[in-house]
Amino acid sequence: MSKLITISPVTRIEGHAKITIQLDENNDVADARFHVNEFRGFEKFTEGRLLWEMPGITSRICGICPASHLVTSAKAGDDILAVEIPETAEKLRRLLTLAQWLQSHALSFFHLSSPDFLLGFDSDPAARNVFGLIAADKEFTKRGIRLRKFGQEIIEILGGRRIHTPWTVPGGVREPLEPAMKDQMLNWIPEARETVGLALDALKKIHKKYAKEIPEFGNFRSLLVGLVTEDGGLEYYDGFLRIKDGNDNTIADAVDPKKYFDYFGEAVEPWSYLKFPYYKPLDYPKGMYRVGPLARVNICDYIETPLAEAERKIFKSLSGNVNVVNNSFYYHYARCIEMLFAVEKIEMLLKDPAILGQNIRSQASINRPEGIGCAEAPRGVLFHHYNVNKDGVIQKADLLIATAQNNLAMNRTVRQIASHFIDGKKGKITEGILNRVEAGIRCYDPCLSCSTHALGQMPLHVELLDAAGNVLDEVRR
Amino acid sequence: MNKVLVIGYGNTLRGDDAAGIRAAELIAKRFAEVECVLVHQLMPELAEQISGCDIVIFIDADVNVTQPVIKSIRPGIEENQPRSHFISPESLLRLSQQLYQRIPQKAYVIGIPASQFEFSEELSEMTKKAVEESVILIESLLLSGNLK
Repeated sequence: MSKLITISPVTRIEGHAKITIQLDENNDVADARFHVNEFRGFEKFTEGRLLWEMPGITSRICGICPASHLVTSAKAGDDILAVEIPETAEKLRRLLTLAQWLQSHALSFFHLSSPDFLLGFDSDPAARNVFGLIAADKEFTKRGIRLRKFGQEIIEILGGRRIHTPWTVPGGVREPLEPAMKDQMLNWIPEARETVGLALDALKKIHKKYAKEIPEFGNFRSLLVGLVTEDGGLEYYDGFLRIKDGNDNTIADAVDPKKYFDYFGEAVEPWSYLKFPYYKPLDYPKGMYRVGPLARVNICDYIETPLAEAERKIFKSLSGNVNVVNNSFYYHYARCIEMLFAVEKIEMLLKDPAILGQNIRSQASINRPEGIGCAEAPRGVLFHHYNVNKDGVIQKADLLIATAQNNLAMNRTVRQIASHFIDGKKGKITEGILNRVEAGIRCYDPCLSCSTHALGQMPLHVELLDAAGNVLDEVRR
Repeated sequence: MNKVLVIGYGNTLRGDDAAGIRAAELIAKRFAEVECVLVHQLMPELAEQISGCDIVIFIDADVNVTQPVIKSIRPGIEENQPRSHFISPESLLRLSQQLYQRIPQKAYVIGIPASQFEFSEELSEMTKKAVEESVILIESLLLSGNLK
């Protein structure tokens, strides 16, 4: 009889999920899966709503990256209105996007992943959390929370509300930036830059400490997908799609993001609510690809800000002779590089006189029945695709989120870590090994549509499967 | 006068999950001197704001109650550990205590009965009524002197 090991729910990631590890007759790992239990039905929910409402609605999908949905939705609206938005509006949207990166990456690195790094994968699980982190390094923890707060404050200043602000709209943004608010944001820059420096220093020590383990943390070749500027630089708001493989071959370049459906399909599996996007020419599941910080920092030719560019070069030196860092553990490093870039670029944007411009919105009626918006969310490239009628009423909405695009890679990562660390013959799995499996998932910082967090409600679903995949037992609570 | 902070949280696209937000919105309208924060979910950076107030009231939807309930809370930690991006009111208090060396003199969680979490911007009739009741409950707390 094969054995099934279940880790549920996965701690310190967004939403609700579980992992199952299937052992074979010889007690070797036969398979491992990352299941997502949360159903996302909001696309259907938006049908019948007005286009102009969509940024405000879609930004309420998730409490973690509302600004990314806000910007991407507004861009889909721009496409339907067929407008070019004013320069100031674009710069303000860029500022918002970078603030989103910063607050999300800071939470992922300092709050969710640092307990593993600084306290150890095998440390006491009761203390392997933010409170253990405070005990170990209070200032480091505080700095991380303040860095996130900086990102949140920009979002709040721009939108007037902390979350789910409908400030970004089709055609531009609703309000210009006040000079005093610009200065308030600039005051944060020195501290923010220093804090990211502390994160990078800590992470580099971790790379040495776990040098033997890191090669087993989702180390495989896959396609890497993200936006780049026209001349190949790191991009986050606009630009073109670039697809590279794990050997640094460019598979596709200068792809108009509006053509995404020509390149990517979505498969479904009966054991997960999360879809499995794949690169169509390679078919499913061979068309596995990764998005997010690891992909972005790998595929770009340069980063326009000096400190981040210097770190990118060090990052690339980890790749050996293929010029691609294929190991998912280095998502953390790429995330820190992006935090550095975000701080530098926010400063550049704020010092640009155009940021205070008053021309912030292009007005137009419905000019196209279909529109696609694309931007880089913290976890990877995000697409909003809408069809509307002549009055701008949504007939169909399709959202391709970053976490789904990493789904195949997350499953591959879980399998690799489980296969390496679990010795089924011992019949015992230590808590430290379970934590490593979870940590493999945390590299991607998945966001599984945070839905409800009502008191007393903790969705938990455990399935027991035999070797043939039949359900032997099922528990819900 | 004590500095009172009300934090209403929930997902406004998921039916009754918005109960805490709706109640906090009503409190903001009726008590100008009370600082109200509306958030999708609790986040660690709230700890600093909490450390600066005298009384904090968290308001959330609750599937385990049939009428609004008030619970006094102290700094603590979830059984499993802070998981994901979700953090409990008790953990936030503990974060305030450990990072900023100060916690409010009093801290409460108001649980509002909730049962429907489908995609909707409407509260169920039961929860709508309970939101009103919870606001009355909070008002009585604010006016009774308990919070002054």
